[in-house]
Amino acid sequence: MDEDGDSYFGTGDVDIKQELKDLKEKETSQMELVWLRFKRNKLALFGTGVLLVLIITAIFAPFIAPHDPLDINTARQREGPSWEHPLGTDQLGRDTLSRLIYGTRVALFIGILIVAISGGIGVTLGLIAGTAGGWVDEVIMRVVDTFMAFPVLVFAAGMSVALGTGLYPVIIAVGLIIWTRFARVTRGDVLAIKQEKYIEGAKAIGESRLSIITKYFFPNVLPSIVVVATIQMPSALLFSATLNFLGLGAQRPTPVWGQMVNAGADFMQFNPWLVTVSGMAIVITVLGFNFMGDGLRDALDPMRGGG
Amino acid sequence: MNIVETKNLKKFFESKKGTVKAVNGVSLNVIKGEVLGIVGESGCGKTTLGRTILKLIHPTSGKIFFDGTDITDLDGKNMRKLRKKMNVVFQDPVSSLNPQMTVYDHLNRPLEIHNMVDSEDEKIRRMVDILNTMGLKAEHLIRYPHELSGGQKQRVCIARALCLEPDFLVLDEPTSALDVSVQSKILKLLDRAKEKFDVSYMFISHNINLVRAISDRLGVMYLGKLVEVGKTGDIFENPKHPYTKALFKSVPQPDPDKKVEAPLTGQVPSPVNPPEGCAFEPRCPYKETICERESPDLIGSYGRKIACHVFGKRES
Amino acid sequence: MVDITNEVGRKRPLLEIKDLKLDFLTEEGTVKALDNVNITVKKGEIHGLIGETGCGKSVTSLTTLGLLDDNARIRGGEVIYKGKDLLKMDENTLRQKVRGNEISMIFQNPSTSLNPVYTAGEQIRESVVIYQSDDKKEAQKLVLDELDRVKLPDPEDVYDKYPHELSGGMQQRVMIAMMLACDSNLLIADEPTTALDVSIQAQFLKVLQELKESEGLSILYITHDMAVISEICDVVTVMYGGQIAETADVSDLFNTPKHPYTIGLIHSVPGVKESIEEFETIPGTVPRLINPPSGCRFHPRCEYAREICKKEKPNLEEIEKNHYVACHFWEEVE
Repeated sequence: MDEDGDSYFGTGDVDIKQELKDLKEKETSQMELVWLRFKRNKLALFGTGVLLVLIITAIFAPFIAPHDPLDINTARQREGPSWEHPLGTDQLGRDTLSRLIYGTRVALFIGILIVAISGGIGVTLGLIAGTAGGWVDEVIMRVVDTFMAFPVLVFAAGMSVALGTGLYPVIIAVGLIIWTRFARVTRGDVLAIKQEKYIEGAKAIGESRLSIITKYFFPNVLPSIVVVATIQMPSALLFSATLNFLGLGAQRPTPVWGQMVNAGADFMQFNPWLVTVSGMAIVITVLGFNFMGDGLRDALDPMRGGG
Repeated sequence: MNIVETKNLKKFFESKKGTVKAVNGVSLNVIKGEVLGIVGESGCGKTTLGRTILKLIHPTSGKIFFDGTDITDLDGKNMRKLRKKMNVVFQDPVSSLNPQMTVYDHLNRPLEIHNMVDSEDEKIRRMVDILNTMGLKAEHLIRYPHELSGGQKQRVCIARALCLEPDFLVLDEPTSALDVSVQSKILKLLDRAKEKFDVSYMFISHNINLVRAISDRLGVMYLGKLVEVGKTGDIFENPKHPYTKALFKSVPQPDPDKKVEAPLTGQVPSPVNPPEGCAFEPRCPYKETICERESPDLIGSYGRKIACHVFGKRES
Repeated sequence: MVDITNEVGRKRPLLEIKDLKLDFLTEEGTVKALDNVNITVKKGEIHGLIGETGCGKSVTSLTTLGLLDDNARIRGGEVIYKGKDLLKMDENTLRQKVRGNEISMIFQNPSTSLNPVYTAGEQIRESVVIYQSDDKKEAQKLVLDELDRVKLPDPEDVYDKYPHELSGGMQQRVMIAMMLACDSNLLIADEPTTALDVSIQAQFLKVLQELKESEGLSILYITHDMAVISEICDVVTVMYGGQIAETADVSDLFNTPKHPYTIGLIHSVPGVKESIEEFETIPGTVPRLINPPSGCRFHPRCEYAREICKKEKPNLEEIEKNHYVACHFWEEVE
């Protein structure tokens, strides 16, 4: 840290331009510190690595996948690994590896959308509940409690059936469950931040209520939200995978990992490859997100606590 | 001329144990250009008083005047405009700064909200000027709070409060969390800033020697009420209220030849459901029968007022 | 190094901290927390330890009782109590014989020292039963006596109260009663009154003063408050940046301080000077101890500093009876 400038004894005409030039050179970044801390956590790096691999795979799927994932070949059903099909084939003779690769697109799409929707709803409601307090808070929290009381899968299954088959009903169904986590965490943070003097200080300088929420509450709640998001992603994936396994959600022939597990389970004793690799894909993705989320949380916390 | 005046100001909180009468009928005034010190022990309500005067919390009853205008019931929009003229510095510098905002952001907000500058250049110039007044440099603009020391954080808080060029500033224990040597620097800065920006201060503290050094006039609070008000020098030379007398005797002096007395036994009662009569009566060695029944008014003359049935008579 | 021991006819030393060097290992580097700390507390004396943030006063007391964190490394020195080096004592002996028994400690926040699920009386009685007599009834009587001795208004009532039902001031006095009940020889008090109101603090200080006269308490009293130091201490040690700056009888320290830091500190205290204009300040800030200044750690802020101050750490010298200063140029200082 710097020495205090004891220049209160006659500051006069300090060369402001020079001071500003020095200023530009000394940019320090909060992000840098967070990154340094994050880097030290090996598991978190692994998790981030997994995520990066997934994203790249998803983007470049057409270039990476050896076959067309929808290509049915009844001559080569339920095969184990071979040169042509490194991870074997499924019950319709489609290449497992290619389906896994294309599956990342769906997985990421689902994960991101779900988290975006539920995050949006949850954070907004959490902010309102926390800042408003009183009966507004009570009402919102009771709504949260109600949603949390539902057995997730039953609710999601029910919703999916009601809304019809396809990807979107699953997304909406799971999103409607997960938003409660965001709401709770956000509200909790808001209540803690409310005690801080800088909120009152903001009021004292004349900030409007909306301004206080967006400029003072929200940026300080953001780290928690990011962590919840990275942890909810795998949850979302698991939920949708389970629903897909049950036959809901994306319909054939779209490659979806959950469904692949379902299909593979049918002939598991004959050839365990499909069920294993698609299951592993889910597990690795989930673990990766979890580790990254933990790492993010640890990296962000000490920084917020002070230097 | 008074920059701030309150009439029978009250602020009550409802709690499970009952009504907390934090501020229980305070009438005071802050003269333009002066430093009014407010001292008292825990539960006396001094912090709540400061926040209520600034309308950071809404008064339960009574009136608040700012520069002659009644602001007690002023609505949100007009109150926000007034925020340019009155501000606050809190005790805890760590909690007072938004960890996600740089020093620049902190100084920028008040300037933006109140449209105080026309160009970015002028804004930066102004910020740097204020920082320099506080003994900080331009480079501190890009720092986040966690990169600053306690003393530096507090200076930023004061700089932010001053960059609006307010007429009135409430300082609530601004140096209590700091080392003694840092404290003396900040106090000198505050003193200088007062001259430069022509601000009036309400300086709230539990450190009696400190308040003595910095205040022109002094108010002593006990359980939500002012018990004595007057010129600082007068009060220290000749404290009149029994509580003030006892309190001053309890303050240790940095002089090995002077020893404290402990004339006050027991502790300050809780501000929940305070007694009907004089709040100090249970511990007062001079009490008379009227003291239990009736709460004394703050009366006096020539700027010196006390709230005491026994000693107050001699004032007016 | 200087050996601050007794001369014929003076009080015997009870606790001698000699040449203590301590580091803390942290992520950001090694914090050189204590650099050759020498403090002697004599029997029957209240020894004040004063300094600002980072000076090492709390660390010194924690080292004495072996209460440091895992990342602490003692690099040298001894802590002699009743002829034994506490630093070399094993944890068991420390726990059973020393802490709470021979040497008691009280902290700034008494509510964290007291067990919330036992009444005040029960807690003290338990300590007595462990260290003194087995007889619970006898112990109880002893406890009540001590509670009375610390001037608690209704000892029987306090005995049955839980800590959260007592005010801060009363809690601190309960801690003193515990110390008396266990017949401790030495009390280490770390900012015991910082969290208390002025009037409560005055009561507490008065109790300590009276006990000092009647019992001859030995106390290592740690605080940042100069006024409190002058109130009850016989001898004062001033610390800065992990080093000892000055040790003297309290009146000598206030009337004729010789270390530039001590002087700066005294002149920053409200109460010494009457008005803000007269306040003096020490330029610069307290150093971080990861890369502390070389030699005398105060040299970057000292108006008397010269080359040698950067190179060589000044030894603690006895400049007059019972007055020790660590400064190369103390003679020039005014």
